[in-house]
Amino acid sequence: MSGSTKTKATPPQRASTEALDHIVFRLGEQRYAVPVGKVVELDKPPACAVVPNTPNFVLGVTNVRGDILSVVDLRALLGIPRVVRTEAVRLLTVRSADGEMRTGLIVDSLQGMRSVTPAALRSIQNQGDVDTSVALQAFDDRDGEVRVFDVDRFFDCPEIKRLSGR
Amino acid sequence: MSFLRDLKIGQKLALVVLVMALPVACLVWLFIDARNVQIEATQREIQGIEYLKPLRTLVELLPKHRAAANAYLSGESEAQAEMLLLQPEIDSVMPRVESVERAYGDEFGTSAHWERFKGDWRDLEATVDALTPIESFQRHSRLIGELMTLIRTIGDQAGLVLDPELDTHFLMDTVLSRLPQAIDTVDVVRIVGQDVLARRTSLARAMQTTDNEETSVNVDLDARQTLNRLIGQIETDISEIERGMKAAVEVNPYMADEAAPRLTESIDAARDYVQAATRILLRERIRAGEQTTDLNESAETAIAALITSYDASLKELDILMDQRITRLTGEKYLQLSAAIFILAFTVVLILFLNRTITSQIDEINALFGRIGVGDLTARATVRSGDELGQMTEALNSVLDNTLNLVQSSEERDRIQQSIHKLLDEIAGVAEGDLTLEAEVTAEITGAIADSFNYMIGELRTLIAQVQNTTLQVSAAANHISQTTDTLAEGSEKQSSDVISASMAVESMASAIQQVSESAEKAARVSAAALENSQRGAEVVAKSIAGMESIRNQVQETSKRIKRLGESSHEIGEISQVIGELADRTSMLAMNASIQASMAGEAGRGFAVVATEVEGLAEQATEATNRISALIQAIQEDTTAAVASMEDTTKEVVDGSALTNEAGKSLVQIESVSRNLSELIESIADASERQARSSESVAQAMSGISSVQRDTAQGAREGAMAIRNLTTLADELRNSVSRFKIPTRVHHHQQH
Repeated sequence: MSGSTKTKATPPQRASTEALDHIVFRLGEQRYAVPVGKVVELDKPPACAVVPNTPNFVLGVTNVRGDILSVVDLRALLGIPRVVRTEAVRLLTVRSADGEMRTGLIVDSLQGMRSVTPAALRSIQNQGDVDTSVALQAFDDRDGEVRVFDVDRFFDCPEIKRLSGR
Repeated sequence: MSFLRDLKIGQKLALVVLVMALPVACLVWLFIDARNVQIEATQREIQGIEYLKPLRTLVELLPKHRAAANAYLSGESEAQAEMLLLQPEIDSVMPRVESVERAYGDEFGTSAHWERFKGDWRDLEATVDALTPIESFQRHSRLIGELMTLIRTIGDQAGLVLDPELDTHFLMDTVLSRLPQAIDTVDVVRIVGQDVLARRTSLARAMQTTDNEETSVNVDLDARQTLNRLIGQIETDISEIERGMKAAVEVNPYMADEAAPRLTESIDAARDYVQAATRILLRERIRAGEQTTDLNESAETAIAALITSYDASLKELDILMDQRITRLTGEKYLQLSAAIFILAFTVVLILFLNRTITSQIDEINALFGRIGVGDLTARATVRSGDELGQMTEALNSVLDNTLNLVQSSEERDRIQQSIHKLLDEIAGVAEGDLTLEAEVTAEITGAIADSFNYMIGELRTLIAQVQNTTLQVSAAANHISQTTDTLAEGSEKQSSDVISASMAVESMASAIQQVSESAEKAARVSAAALENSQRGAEVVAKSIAGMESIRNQVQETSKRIKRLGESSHEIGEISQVIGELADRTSMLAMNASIQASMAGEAGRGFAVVATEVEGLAEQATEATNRISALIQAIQEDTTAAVASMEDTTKEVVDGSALTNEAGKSLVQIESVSRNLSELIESIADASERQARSSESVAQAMSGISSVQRDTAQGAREGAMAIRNLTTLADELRNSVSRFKIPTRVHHHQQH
């Protein structure tokens, strides 16, 4: 959080009442939403070059049109048991608030886009067992709860920071 | 009608005249009766007119009395004298009315009416002094009303009203209703007018003015209305009288001489009165005094004129009625005499006709009388040119011819005598005496006698020959007859022997026939058994074929269902492809959104489109998911269907195996019953052959028997024929034996 507030390059947020488009994805039983502005690209999972001496959640690096991306398995990162990959698995490339870091996230499947107003968001911090390492807020759609995946917080995770060497 | 045949011609003609005369007489009687009825009606009308004559005075005097009484009671004392003068005058009329009343009252039914009128008048006469003017007026008016009713009643009863002729009808109408009514109305106008004048005068005096018309008019309003109405009535009556008079004069110009002028005068007088009354009462200003006198005088004049015309009309009526009676009587006698003349003429004509017919007939009768006594020279005289005359001429010519024929009768007598003689000579031949000979003379009969003699000779020879021949025939026949009798007896015995043998053979044949029939019956039964088993086999074969076809169909259906399953699988694949496409589209759309978001404000529109595309892709994904589920269900159902089909097929196969078994059993039964049937048929054939051979034996026997019978029959018939021949020969001899022949001839033949 603090990272995002410090970043000057981030374009000023629009009026807080305006709806923002989110991309929804599934991870195990849980669904998450990422604001469109934080996403760089969506794609099928690419072939990865394994990098030695990296944590188990890092699948490796890949070349996307000349850019080298590190690929993170979100299941592994969030401690969800791994399963056999299906056809629906996708690569979700996100960027950090300053735009300097890009990371590919492997998710179980994409669930489409939702337009969310700030008023529809609610906090999930004080709900005990909820893992708040990457999500502080949530909203409801016709299929139930969707947590808002906080990209900045993800990049602020110690493991990720360590990975990027910053 | 037979008596008509017996009548003489004269009587017949008389009957025709009588029958014709009856309807003529009836017609004449009807005509005369109609005339008599008319005459009676006219006479009755004359009686009515007689009755009306004395009443006319009352019609005149009663209104006068009413006017006088009114004046007197209203205060004009000089009127009393007039009234008192009128009363005895009226009383003097009464006895005259009484006398006509006695004469015709019963017939017209007016007695009661008249008595009432008379009583009312006496009452009024006695009490008139004590009445008020209004009461007096009303009672007078009622009395006048009764008088008019009496007059009309007479008119109705005497048939005056119903008079059939136009001139008298109008006069009646005038006399019976128009004139009395006009007189009455004239009088009423006078009385009302006087009253009005009196009131005007008193009013004028009271108001000290001499000419205040307006006031008087106001005071007189009611009276003026009454007067208007009454004067209108007079005018109506007058015009009615005038109209009737014109119509009557048109029919009967004679009236223009006498009654019409009187009526015209009265009409003029009444018109004058109407003018005077209108002038005095309705228009002019009040001028007291002489006005009353004017009105009175005018009224008197009018009444006098009307009465005069009344008298004239009555007189005219009298004359017209007399004329009518005279005319009707004349017509009656004319018809009567015409009828009598025609009848007399007819009778004379018939008498003349009778004479012409009977004279000719008498002539013919006399002629026949003379012919009856043999006088053929008699001739009748022709008296007429009709059919009877022609008949007489024909008779005369017939008699002429007959006379000519009678002249040649003497010669005929001689021939007759010679014929008689010949007949006497040969009379014996008819009785069979052939020994006679006729005398040959020089007469015409001589040749005939010669021929006769020759003929008798021939007959003698012929009969002698017949007698000899018959004797010989008779002897030969007797001999033959005995021989044939013996022959017949022999052959009859032989025949009976053959018959008994034949019967034995026939009974044997019938026994064999019974065996044959039984065998045939058995053959029929076994044939039926064979047929049944064949039919069973056919049924089994059919059922096997049916099962086979069921199995084929089931297999076919099962194949189709499998194909359906495959098709659904293909659909599933296609829908999967669609799902992938949708998935990729969704991802592309989301990437587009991301790109749009990076473009910032410029990419907003594009972002919306991308979002829409993403939504559509998502819907497509959902649809393909549903299709997949449906296809899953279809494939499950298909598999189940195929399984059950296979079960069915198996059952069908089992069923057809059982049926095959049944078919085999039936074939075995068939072969057994075929063998049985063949055996029985061979038995039947054998016994039938036997029966046929025994039958031919029986036939042969019966042929022999019938030949024997025929022989015996022939012998019997021969004997019978010969006996008949003997009898015939005897009869022939008997029939020729009555002829007498000279013995010389007889001997000659026997040699």
